[in-house]
Amino acid sequence: MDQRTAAEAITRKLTATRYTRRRLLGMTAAGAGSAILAACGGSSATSTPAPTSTGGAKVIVSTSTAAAAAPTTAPSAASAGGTSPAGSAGAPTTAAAVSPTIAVTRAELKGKVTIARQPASPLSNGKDDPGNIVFQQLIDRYQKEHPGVTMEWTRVPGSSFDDLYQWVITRQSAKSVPGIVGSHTFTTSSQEATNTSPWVDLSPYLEKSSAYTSKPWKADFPEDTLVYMRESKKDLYSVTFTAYKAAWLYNKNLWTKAGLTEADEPKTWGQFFTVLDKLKASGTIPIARTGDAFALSHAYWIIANSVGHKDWLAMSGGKTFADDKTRFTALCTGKWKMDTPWNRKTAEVTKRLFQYWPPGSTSLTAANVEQLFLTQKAALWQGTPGNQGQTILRRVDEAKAEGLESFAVGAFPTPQPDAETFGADIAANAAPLADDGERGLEYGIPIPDLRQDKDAGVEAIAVDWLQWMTTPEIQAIQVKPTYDLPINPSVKLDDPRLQLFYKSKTQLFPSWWFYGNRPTWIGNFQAYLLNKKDLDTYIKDEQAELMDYTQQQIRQSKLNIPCG
Amino acid sequence: MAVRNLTSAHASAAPRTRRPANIWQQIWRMRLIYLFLLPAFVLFVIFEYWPTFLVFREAFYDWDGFRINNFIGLANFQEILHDPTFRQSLKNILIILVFYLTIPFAMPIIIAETVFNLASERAQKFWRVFLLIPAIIPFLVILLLWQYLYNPVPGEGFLNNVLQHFGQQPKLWLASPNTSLWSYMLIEFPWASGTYMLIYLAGLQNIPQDVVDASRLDGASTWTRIFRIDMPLIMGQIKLIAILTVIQTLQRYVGIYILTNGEGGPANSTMVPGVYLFQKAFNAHRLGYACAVGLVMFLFILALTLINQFLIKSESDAQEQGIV
Repeated sequence: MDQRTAAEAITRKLTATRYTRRRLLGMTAAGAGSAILAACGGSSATSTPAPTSTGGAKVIVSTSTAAAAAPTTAPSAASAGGTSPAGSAGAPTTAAAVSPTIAVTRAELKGKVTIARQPASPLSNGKDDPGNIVFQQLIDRYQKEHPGVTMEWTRVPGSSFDDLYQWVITRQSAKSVPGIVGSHTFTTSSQEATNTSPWVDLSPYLEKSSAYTSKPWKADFPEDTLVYMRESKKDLYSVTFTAYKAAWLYNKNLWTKAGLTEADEPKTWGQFFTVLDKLKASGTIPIARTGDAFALSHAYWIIANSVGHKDWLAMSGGKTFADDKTRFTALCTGKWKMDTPWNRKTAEVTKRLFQYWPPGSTSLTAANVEQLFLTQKAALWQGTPGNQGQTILRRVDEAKAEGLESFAVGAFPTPQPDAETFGADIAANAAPLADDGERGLEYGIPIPDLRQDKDAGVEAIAVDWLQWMTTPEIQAIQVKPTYDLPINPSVKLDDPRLQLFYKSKTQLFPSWWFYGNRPTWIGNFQAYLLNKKDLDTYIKDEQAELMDYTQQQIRQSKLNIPCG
Repeated sequence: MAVRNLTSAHASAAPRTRRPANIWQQIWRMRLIYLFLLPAFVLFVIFEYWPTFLVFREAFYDWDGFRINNFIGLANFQEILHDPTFRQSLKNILIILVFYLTIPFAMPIIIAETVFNLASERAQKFWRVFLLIPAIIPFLVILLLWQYLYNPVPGEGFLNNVLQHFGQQPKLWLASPNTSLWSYMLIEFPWASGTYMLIYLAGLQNIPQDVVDASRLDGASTWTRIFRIDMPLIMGQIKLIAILTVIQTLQRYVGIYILTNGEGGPANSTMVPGVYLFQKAFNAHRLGYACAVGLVMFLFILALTLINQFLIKSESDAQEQGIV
C-alpha cells in the first residue's frame, strides 16, 4: 500500500469513528482521572503561611575573637568565594563588619571525602530547607579554598533518628562509611573499654592548634559541652556544630486570652499546672506536643534526671556520668531499681502533664503539632529554636515577613520541682532541672577499616573540615538561616527570644534511660498514661523491661557481669 | 533351525525396547530448557531462598546486623514465650484475622453473586470495572486519607466533624487503645476487594449452564441455587482466597506501621508481629530476635494454611459428593 492510500485509509477510519455513549463515557472518565491526578500533584494547600526565607537570624561574632583570628597571610580565594545563604540579602549582621576572612588554605590537603548527613525536610512550599542550601554552599566554598580537595555530600534518606542510625549501621556492616558522618550515636564506653570503637579518637586533634584560629581546637567549644559529649569515656569521638538548648515557647495572643501575663511564666511545676489549667479553660489546647516515644520520653527523662539525681550519685560513686559496667552492675545487683519514690512521682507528674496535650496526641506527628502551634490552636510548644529540623521560630518570622497572620512568642525554661507537686523530700533532693542535655547532630570520622573513602589523606582532610566548620566565621554563616544555636561561644544570635536559650547552661546529666535505647518502654508507659495499667504495674513492667534490655546489652558488649 | 528362525523372526517382529533414561540423561536431553531456566533459578535462590535460610539460621543467634553475631541456641525463642509485647501483637493479629475471615471475606462473594446475577451484560461490565478501580489506587494514598479522616484534634478530622455535626462526642479513633484496633479494621470498608471479586466472578462464570438450567427446572430458588450449587462449585476459589487472606493478614505491617508512625499504636493496641519484628530489627538492633519472631510466624502461618486445606473442600470433593 502506498503512502497516499495509507493516509486515505487512516483518514477514512478516523472520520468513520462514531462516538458512542460508551466511548464518550470512557473519554470522560479518562479526562476526569487526568484532572484528579493533576490536582493531586504539586504542593498541597495548607492553612499555614508558605514560608520563605526572611534572611535568617541576626548573627554577632564577638570582636575579640574575630581579631585574634585575623589571618596573617594575604586574603585569597576565601573572600572571593564567600557566599551567603539564600535570601540573606537585606539582613544586616554585625558579623559582616568584624568577621575574619578565613584565608588559610592548605595546599597539602589532597583527596576526596564524602560527607554523610541527613538533610532537613523541604519547606511546606516545596523549596529546599535553607539549612541544606547553606550546608552545600559551605562545602562548595571549602573546596574553592582547598583546591586539592573534593567533597561530596551524601544525603542520608529518611528523617528520623532511627533512619539515620540504620543507614550508618548498614554502611558499617558493608565497610563503606563516608569519611565524615553526621549522626547521633557514636562510641560507647564499652567499645572504648574493649578498643572496638568504629570512630576515630578526636581528642588528640582537639588538643592541637586549629589551622584557622591558631588556638587549640577545643577552644571552639564550650567546656561543659565537651564534658557532656565525653560522658564517662576517656576521649571524644565526635564533635558538634550546634548547641542544643530547649525551652517552652508560648503564643502571647493565647496567653493573654487566658488572662496571663509575662509575670505568670511559671518557675515551679505547681505554677505551671495553674497556667495550663487557665489555658485549657480559655478553650485553647495548652500544649502542642506529640504523644510518641520521643516527646514522652523526653518529658519523663528530664524530670527523672532531676529528681533522681541523689540516687544516681549514690549509684555512680558521686560521678555525673557512669560507664556501662557501673550502670549494668548496679541494675543487676539491685543497687539501682525503678521502684523508687522519685520514679513513681516522675511517672505521675508526666501523666498529669499529658492531660494538657492535644487529644489523641499518641497518633499525631511532629508536623501535626507544629501546625497546631502555628495556626494558634495550641498555646505552648517545647523544643529548640532551630536544632534538628525544628523550625518554629523561622516559620513564625517568615509568616510575619509575608504579612500573614502571625503572633509574638515568649519563652521560659521547664519549671523546677517543688514540694507542692513532688513532695517535700523529692523536691529537696532534686538537682536543677534543665531542658537540654540532648546533643545536636555530631560529626565523626570512621576508622580506616570501615571507610568508603580510601585516600590516604582522608582523615587529615576530614579533621581540617571539622575545624573549619567550627570557626566563628563559618559558624555565623551556618546558623544564620536556620536559627540553630552555634556551638562556638564567640558567635551569638542577636534575638531577644533566644536570650533565654543562651542563659540555659548545659546541664550535665546523663541520658541513661532515654527511650532511644529502649524502644519497648513506650508501649508500657502509654498503657499507664491511657489508664490501661496502674502505676504499680507500670513500674513492675518497667523494671522487667529494663532488665531484659540490660541483659541484652551485657551480652552484646561482652562485659562479664552476672545478671539474672 | 525352524525354532531358531522362529526366534529370530519373533525377535525381528517385536518392537525394540529402550532402557529408560536416567535423570542425568533426561536433564541432558532437556538442557536448553534448563539453560533458560537457570538465570531465574539463580536469582530466586539468591534473593528468595538464601535470605529465608539466613532468617532460619540467625533466629538462633544474637545478631545486631553489624559486628555481633553469637550463637545462643533457643534463647530467642524462650524470650518470645515470655515477651508481653509479642503476646499482645499475636492477640491483635488473631482478632484482625478472625474479622477478616468474616465480613471482609464474605463481601467479595456477595458482590460477585450480585454482579453475576445482573440481567444486563452491560451493567455487569460496568460494575466489574467500577469495583476494580479502588484496587489501582496506591494503598499508601488510602492510608494517608484515613489518617486525615481519623485526625483526633477537634475541628481537624472529617469523621469527628461529622459526629459533632450530629451532636455526638468526637472519638480518638487510632489514638485510643479502646478504638484503635477497630479503627484500623475499618479502613478497607466496605471490603469489596475488586481482585477477589473478579476471582469469584470467574468461578461463577465457569459453572456449566446446564447445571443452572437443571436447577431451575427442578424449581430451585435463587438462594437454593447459590448455596447448593454456586458455593460448592467455587469452593476452589474460596479455598484459595481463604489461604491468601490468612497469609496476608498474618503478615500485615505496612498499614499499621504508617498509621501509627511506626510505634504500633497507643499502648501497643494495634501492635502486630510484623511491626514488632521491624521494631526489633531496626529500632532495637536485635536482628536475631526479629528472625526468631519471623520464624515463629512462618510456622504459625504454615499450620493455619494446612488446617485451611483440610477444612475447606474443593470442587473435586463436590464432584465426589454428587453435586455436579
